[in-house]
Amino acid sequence: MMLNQSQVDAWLAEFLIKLKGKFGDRLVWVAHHGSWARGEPGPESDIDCMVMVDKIKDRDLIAFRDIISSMPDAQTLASGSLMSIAELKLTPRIFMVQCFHGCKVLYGSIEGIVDPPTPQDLIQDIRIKADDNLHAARHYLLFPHDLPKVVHKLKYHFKNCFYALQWWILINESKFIPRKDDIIEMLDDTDDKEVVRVARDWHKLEDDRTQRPAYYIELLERWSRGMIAKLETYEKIRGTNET
Amino acid sequence: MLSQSEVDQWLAEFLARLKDRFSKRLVFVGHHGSWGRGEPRPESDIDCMVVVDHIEDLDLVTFRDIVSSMPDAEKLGSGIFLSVAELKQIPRSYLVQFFHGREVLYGSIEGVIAPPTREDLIEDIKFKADANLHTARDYLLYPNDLSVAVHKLKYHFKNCFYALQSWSLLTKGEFIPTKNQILEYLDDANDAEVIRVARDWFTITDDLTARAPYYIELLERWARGMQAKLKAYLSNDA
Repeated sequence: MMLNQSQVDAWLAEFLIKLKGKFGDRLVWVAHHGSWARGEPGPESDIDCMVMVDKIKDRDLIAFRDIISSMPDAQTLASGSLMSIAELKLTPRIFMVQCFHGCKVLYGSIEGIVDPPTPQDLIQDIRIKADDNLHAARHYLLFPHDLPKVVHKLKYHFKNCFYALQWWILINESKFIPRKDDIIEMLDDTDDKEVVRVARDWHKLEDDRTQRPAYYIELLERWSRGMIAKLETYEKIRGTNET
Repeated sequence: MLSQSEVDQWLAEFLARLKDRFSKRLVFVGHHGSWGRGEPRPESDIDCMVVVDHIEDLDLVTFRDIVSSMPDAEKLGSGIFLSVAELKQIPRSYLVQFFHGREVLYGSIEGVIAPPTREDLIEDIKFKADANLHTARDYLLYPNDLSVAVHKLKYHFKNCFYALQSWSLLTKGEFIPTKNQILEYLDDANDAEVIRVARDWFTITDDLTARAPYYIELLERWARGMQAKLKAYLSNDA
């Protein structure tokens, strides 16, 4: 069953009321992100929320779980994260991208608690994603593997290409582009376009992935190599190599 | 199960083939993982880090040929293959394994990248604690079949071990290679328990299913505790 936007809004409003009812003044911030917030939901999309409270003890986990399980269709719809202020401060800086870009704030604010991501934070996250994709793709390509099987495990790797390119555009053009369709239009590099297309059409491509897995895994490897080369050039120009 | 001398022989043969194909372009070969640490299990593979001067499509084919020509490649071959430029772009917090607890079989990476600093170790611990916290909470707070989900946490418990290795490097300047050694050294009950879970992962399969919430709650509590320790360390330091 595919929801419509107003059903999602109603679900979020109910969720927020329950959070306020349970946590009261202790609720710091609630934001909605993910594919519904980006305006590109698919049939399986859940409703992603980030919830921040002042601190977290064992009973707060139970309270939160009770709220979630009381929500309509919790099983298929509820998704997200619960954090305390102290935990947010200790989260890797890159988590800030999703807190400051592409989410809809439903309650409160995190201004003054943490700083927005800097270009260096974005670069670091692109590096992590490219490095991770490179290793995963090479692991499958270089060591004996059943490619028609393992190729289906790469969904989040292709999704991470999309995020990395989203950050890359944010750094270079100071624009945050939420949707995959718009990102594809903005990119020139063929591999860049193709990885975002694969991320967008992941479910439709299942048969094709089984038929020509090497194409997809080699694409991911080549994309990562290209992204790492772009990072290298970026650092040379800026003279910001951390080592 | 292989013996140490069979593993050494496998590595020697692998190195000879790498030298033969890449010759002067070979920069570094290191051996890590459970055999390198001296705590192999029957299903352990042989993990290698191979660095060459640069990588083009043809080099990937060459490397794949070498691996597939090795005895029992399906079961034993494992590891990473990188160029110098790629090594330099690795997130700095991942460098611990390149400088500690590995055996160098060939060459050197000194001069290519600097060893992990204090900040890199802090970042590494932050990342692993944060990832474990979110995964454990995701399972605990949202409707999930815990007795199925718990079996996906193998690498999360392994990452507790690596985070505690970085913690020991950070706070005592000491690298502790094996899980048994680190167990002797830990005083926190949750720290010791997550290491035991990582060490005994394959023998506790049934208990994981039977008492799934115990293990997932342990991981959540460990991550919370690790963050609290890190916070105390950082504020003492400041």
